[in-house]
Amino acid sequence: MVAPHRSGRQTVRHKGRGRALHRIKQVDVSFDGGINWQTARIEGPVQNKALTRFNINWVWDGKPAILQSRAMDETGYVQPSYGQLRKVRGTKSIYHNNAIQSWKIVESGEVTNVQVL
Amino acid sequence: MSRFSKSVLVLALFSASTATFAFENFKGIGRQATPAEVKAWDIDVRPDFKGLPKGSGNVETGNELFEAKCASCHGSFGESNEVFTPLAGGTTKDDIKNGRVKGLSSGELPQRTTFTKVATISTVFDYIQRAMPWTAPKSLKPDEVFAILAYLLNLQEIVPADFVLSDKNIGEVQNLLPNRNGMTTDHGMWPGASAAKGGIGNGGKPDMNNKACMKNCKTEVRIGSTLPEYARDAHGNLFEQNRDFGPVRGQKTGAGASAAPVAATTTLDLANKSGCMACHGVNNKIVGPGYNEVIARYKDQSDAEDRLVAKVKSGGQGAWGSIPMPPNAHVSDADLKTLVKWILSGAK
Repeated sequence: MVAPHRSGRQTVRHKGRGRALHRIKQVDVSFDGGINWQTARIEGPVQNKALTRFNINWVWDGKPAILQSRAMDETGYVQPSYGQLRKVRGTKSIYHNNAIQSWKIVESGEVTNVQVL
Repeated sequence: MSRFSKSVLVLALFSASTATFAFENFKGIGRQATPAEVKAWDIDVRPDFKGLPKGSGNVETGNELFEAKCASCHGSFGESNEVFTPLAGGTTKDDIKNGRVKGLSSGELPQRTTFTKVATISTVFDYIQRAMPWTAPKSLKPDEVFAILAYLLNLQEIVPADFVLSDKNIGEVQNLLPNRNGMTTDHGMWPGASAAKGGIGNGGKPDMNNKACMKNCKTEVRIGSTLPEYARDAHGNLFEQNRDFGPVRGQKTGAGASAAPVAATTTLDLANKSGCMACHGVNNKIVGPGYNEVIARYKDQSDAEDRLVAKVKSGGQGAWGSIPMPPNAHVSDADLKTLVKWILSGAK
């Protein structure tokens, strides 16, 4: 889960929370819709079945961006993309959706949800 | 050992374990729940009907109760008012036979209802007993819950109108639920044994797994779906519905709020819309001066922005010849400022 906040004119603070049955081991963040990823800092406490905070520095250059976060748990399970989720469960599945969420930022600074496959 | 002393022993063991839990992990916080408190909380009814109270109720009584306590929200026939989703409808005789609602996967279903989705009748019993009616949850007696459930099952054409539902025959009704085979545990979100082995897990194996790729993971970013425009105001202005204290007020989502998409709107669009481009070219004179000329004249003046905003607003004549510029009262001050800034920065 990621939650970008607009603060000031051209910076987007990027902080998020992820949740898993198992303990979160690593959280990676992408700003380009999942092409490249960077590992975020995890803020404690890290518990199972609990929200785990993470953060990463990012200065928005004002260009369109797609923010994502991808959690990995202590068993090595990596959060799937929407494409992977749709392949297995189809598009009519609602519950237990644990796919990577995407936040699209356009030049005006407006943030909307999209599903990146 | 008598049955009585057995149950006392069980309670004692239970208390001991909760006491250990409470005092080891949360030392000094609160106290352990008494057996009576635990009993009062422990009202869940499980798929194997553990926890189901004894009792019975018929369709007719259920109809009367439903009309009195449920229909204001759920409609006399479970069709529901505009706020809630329907309880009944959407299934066929074949669904009852197969235990899987076909319309869910084929997409033919115009709207999901409780009985198109629910796989365990115990869940419906539990929910009604626990949470309904909304204004007085937990006020229904077991017989009343059985009766209301019998009425719902009759609405759904699962049981006949003279049916009496009880703790004795609810297991048979379970075998008639239209979507009883519709539950999957393949997603691996739950631990423990698979559904086939009587558990609710799938052995802990997730139904998909990603790779933690870090660089050049794909060649293109494909967006599968976006929030449609019409969904923006589906819940009204969230800003106004949030509490007015604390740091988070929620996003302005009402019509015309700043959250509305502005991506496609450039300052040039604004200039067009405001009528500027009818008389001014970016690099050429039309009726009035081109913006290139305006820039050339005003670029070294520190108060140019404010002066130009005033000029554009009130109109004028003489600075660029005899053709007057009309006043532009229809353009808001904020837009005027944006436009002037844009012109002075090159009108690109």
